[in-house]
Amino acid sequence: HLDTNRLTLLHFAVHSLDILGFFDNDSNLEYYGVNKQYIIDWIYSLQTYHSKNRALRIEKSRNRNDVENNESSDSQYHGHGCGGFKGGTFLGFTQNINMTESESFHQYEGFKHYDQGHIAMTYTALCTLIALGDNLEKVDKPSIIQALKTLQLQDGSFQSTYPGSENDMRFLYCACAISFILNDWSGVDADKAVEYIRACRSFDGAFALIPGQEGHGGSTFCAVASLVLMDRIDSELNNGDVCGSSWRDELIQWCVSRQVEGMQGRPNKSEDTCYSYWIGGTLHLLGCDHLLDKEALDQFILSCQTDMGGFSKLKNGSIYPDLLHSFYSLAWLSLSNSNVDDDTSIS
Amino acid sequence: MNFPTFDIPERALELTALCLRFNPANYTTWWFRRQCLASLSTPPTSDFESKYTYFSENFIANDLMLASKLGGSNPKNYQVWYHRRNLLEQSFSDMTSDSDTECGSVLELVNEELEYIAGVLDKDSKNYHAWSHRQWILKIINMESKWTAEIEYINDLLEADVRNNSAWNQRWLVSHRGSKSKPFPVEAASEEVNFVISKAREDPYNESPWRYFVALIKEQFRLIASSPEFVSLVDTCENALKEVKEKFELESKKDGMECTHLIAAHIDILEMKGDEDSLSSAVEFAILLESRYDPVRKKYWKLRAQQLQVVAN
Repeated sequence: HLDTNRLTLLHFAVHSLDILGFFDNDSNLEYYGVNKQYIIDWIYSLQTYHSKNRALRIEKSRNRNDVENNESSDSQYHGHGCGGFKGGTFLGFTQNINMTESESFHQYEGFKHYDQGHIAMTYTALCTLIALGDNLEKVDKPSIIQALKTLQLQDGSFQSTYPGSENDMRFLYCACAISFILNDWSGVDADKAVEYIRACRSFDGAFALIPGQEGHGGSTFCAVASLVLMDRIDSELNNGDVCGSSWRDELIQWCVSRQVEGMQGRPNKSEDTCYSYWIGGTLHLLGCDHLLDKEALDQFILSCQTDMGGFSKLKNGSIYPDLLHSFYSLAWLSLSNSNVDDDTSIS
Repeated sequence: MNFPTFDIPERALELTALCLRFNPANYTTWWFRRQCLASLSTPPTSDFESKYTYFSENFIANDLMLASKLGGSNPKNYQVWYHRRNLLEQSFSDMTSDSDTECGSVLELVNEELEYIAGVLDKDSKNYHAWSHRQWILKIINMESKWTAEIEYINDLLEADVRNNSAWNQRWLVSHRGSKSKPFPVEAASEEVNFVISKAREDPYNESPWRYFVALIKEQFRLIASSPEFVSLVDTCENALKEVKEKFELESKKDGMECTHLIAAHIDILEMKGDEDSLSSAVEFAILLESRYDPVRKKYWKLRAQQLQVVAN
């Protein structure tokens, strides 16, 4: 069921290992048989064909020591909103950077209209490439920026993929993160994006996934992180209510109120380790994570480690660990800067 | 964008159903399926124009069933919910009447869909996807009768679980008819406060009604801040809150300060009142929460007390 999201799983795994310092030590890589370049190549093989073709040409022109201008031949490939990365090899086949241009073009014909990037996969691809030390040279930046333009809707939100999908705060955040990483904001109408974020403010001061919906830890992080990336956090959150309490104050109170021992994602819901990152991360972005009871939170998270290693979402022996909760637990713990005994308490 | 449709779309359709059983999260398969459905559907007139894809009635019915089957064990799958929406967009956006009799078969579809969602919420009353889909329907059809009926539905949910934050959020949405630009008129706000207080009384520890309570008052504050109507509303609210606290203390023999969300709401009210006495009470409450009653959030309450002190000075 996670075929379309394999890149996300890779993202969780690579970043978790990175946080644990795994990649800093070459003997780790050797012992576990991890080949960074192999992973990087796999990620690049998921770039949509249109983009990959450019990557192939960049590679070739570098080898020939000249720069070819292939802008005109791009037009033979449909280039609408399809730039970016797919989440897995579920579509077509894994393209190998070594395949000849004619080989890959011939096979591409059969599925080219369905070869679409997915905004969240593009985001995780870029993050993971950076974590692995890649310089993003083979990334087809113009295609991705073009895709963002196509994916943004009238209300400022983003869909995930060109043929159409649901639109919500998650993809708005992906768009902002991508633009930030590629240092190119021409694909995002920031004013409209900010309007959407405003529209998503819930009655209790947090942010929902879509306008009118319940305030939620995940969407709150996406909204706040997007504002930070767009450099609009202060102008938006410091809007006062005249009574002295600003949006920022309400948001902070909502966030700290999510702490039971661990963090819950919404009022009256159970604690879940991943919200330590979504909510803790939000507060961190606002410079307020010191307001949490970090000791209690970190203790809770550590107690969610399982006998198999990794973290599960709850403190309960019968729940299995998973990549998502392991990553977000580690991500928060690394932000937390609390006195965790190095590696001994993280098994 | 025109995509190639296959020579035998019916066969392709069958294949997608098979593929989706293996992986209902494959959004490309869903999209391809919709392409097939669209190519096999004939719009009512030759010049039929719509911003949504047209699917014929039997396909809509059939695919809603498919989505229900796949959705059963995957209630949090984005693609399945999105498929439902795609199928219904055309029909629902055409509804311009508020009359039950005029809408006919589409109304039937609306009712069935709301019932389906209620079934999903019956298993998990806080399923975010289900609520999003429900909100989408209510907004797109925008029928007064449905908005009104929804309040009843919400009340039932709150009877079953007064702590259901999703239901409280839905109440806010429905009361505003799906739009932030339709705030409560002040008389309606007063009535709503009565409802909220009655629910808060059931369990004063419960966070949700107190957040709703504060949101109600803040909304009025933003509209009519120093008007006599607001002053009167705030006084009523403050008294109601105090009554809940006293009743709680009487019945439980416990210290009402333990109901930290009640106290937090009181602090918000006092801050809105803004006079010297109110502000110093607010500071006192915040200090009590910090020092004794809300230890998890003591650093937060210390900051809040400081902020209030600054305003008081």
